[in-house]
Amino acid sequence: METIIDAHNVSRVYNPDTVPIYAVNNVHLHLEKGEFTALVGPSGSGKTTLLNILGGLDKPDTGQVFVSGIDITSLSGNRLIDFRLHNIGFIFQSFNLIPVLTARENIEFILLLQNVGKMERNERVNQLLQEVGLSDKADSRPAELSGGQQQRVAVARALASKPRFILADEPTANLDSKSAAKLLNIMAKLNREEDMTFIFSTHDQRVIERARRVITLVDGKIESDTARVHTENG
Amino acid sequence: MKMILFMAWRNIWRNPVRSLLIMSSVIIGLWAGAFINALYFGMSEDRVRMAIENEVSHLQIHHPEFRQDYKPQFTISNNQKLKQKLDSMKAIKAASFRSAAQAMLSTASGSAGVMVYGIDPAAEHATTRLAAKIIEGNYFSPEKRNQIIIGHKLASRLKLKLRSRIVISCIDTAGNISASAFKIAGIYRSSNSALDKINVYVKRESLNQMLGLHQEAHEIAILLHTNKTLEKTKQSLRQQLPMYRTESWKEISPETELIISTMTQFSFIIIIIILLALSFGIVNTMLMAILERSREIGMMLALGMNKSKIFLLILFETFLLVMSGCIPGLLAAWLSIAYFTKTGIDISAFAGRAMSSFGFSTVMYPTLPPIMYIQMALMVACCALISAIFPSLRAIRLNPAETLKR
Repeated sequence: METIIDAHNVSRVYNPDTVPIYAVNNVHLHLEKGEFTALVGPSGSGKTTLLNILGGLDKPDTGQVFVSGIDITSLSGNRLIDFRLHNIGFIFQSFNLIPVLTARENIEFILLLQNVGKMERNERVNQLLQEVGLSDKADSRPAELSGGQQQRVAVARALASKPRFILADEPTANLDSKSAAKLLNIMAKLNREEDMTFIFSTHDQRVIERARRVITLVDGKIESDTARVHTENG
Repeated sequence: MKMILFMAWRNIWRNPVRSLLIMSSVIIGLWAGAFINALYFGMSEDRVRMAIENEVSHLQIHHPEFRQDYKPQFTISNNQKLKQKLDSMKAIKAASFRSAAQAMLSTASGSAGVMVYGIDPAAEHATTRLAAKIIEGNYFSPEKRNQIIIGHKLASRLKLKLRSRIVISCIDTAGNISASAFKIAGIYRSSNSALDKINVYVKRESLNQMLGLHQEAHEIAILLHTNKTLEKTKQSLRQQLPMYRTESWKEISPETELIISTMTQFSFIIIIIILLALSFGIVNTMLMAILERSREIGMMLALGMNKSKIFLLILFETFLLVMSGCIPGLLAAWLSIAYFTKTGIDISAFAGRAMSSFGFSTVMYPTLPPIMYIQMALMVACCALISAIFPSLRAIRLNPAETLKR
């Protein structure tokens, strides 16, 4: 199996000089291609901080994170931004689409940053819109879409760059059950058919139930790491 | 690049009220700046035109020593030959040969120091339009001798009326005091009330007779068809008449040149003050926009939009916002200036006396050369780019992990 993420002794401490708070405390994590992993735990357990560190959005105070063999903790500035652009897809809790761009343009945005040619761009955007079932909403702006539709655009945008893995921070938290189920089906299908690696932070029992591996964080430490066997995750 | 421009343009219209407010302030600021500039420029041009047409003409020729203390013996001779030479020069529209003397004007009720010009009436009118400035009485009559034309300020100071008798006394070429009686034929009013107190005009033969001269003159005032040929004509006359001093209006009337340069500096200072005020508004607006959108900017950084692109996005946004106000602002300025260039702005009711005492017309005709519009547009563009730097730097310093938490 191909190793996607390898994190060693990762810690993140807030207020180290006064009252140290360990958001992430000496975490070791190994993720392989094609995993569908849920990061669970109570609020303040360090899920988002760990996700940010794995995605190169935050730096650990100690430890290293290797993504496909590259130590991303040693990268900084535009090199790190560029690494994220080509290797990591992000899905956020509150969708975070660019409000002035249409669904199509939001997806295309990533491809433009990657300097992908016009023909290939159009082809990929159409394909992604189809995969998330939003071909008919291609020219709608985020404000004209429901929460579920916006999050599906965010999934398509995360997939656009053909990343090595996708980090999703509570992707279903702002969705109704129907939209959440639809989104999960899409992500599970992508995982199953395209072998796309997903790592979620979540409280949502529906997501946890679909995950093939559940990592539980408590006070910044991994309390349990459970692999599950599903006949089908979709 | 195209995508960044496109996003920047759309971002402007996310908060249309705020953007329209900034655009309006740019429009009003620029309009006001351009209009004030146009007023200053129009006044400067008017002052130069008046100085040339009414006071000093484009060029003057003197004996090199005459203007040091106005001694009557420092004359220009061979006037007939000189006149033919000047008439043959295409750039010259008219020339007036004058004799001049510092003199005392005395009446029964008082006296005043004056500058007496002995003129050829027709040539003087062609050069300075003196006859057109007569407000009482008439211009010189060919038949009558010892006529004098005085300014209205002098007339009111000495309580002189038409046909009043006055005595002019001055020093002649032999160093003796020479006096002659004159009758007031006309009273003139020029646009420079200071000169209306000092300058009086008699026929040249009358003054020359007093000074002990024949056909000589002390001064040749030359009016050109256009100011554009000023330097070329001056150089040509200096070459042809090396024994005399040929000077342009800038040298004869340095105060006019000083007024113009001061006005130019003032207008630039006003523009800079307006742009500075605008800059603070622009920086404030853009900082607010960035504060509101910090989460979105953080998200773009997270997704892989590098810092230079974020910087460009904010830069373009600021630039487009400001230039969207700049174009209508300059258009409004151009339209209003064009209107008032035709109609003029009459300020005689509240500043007429002050204006004319400084040699300015009481009707202002704003005018702004096209190059000034381009200069102002460039200044605004620079202002927009400079104003964008600080907000852009703030944007690229955002930490995506921090902003996404909010």
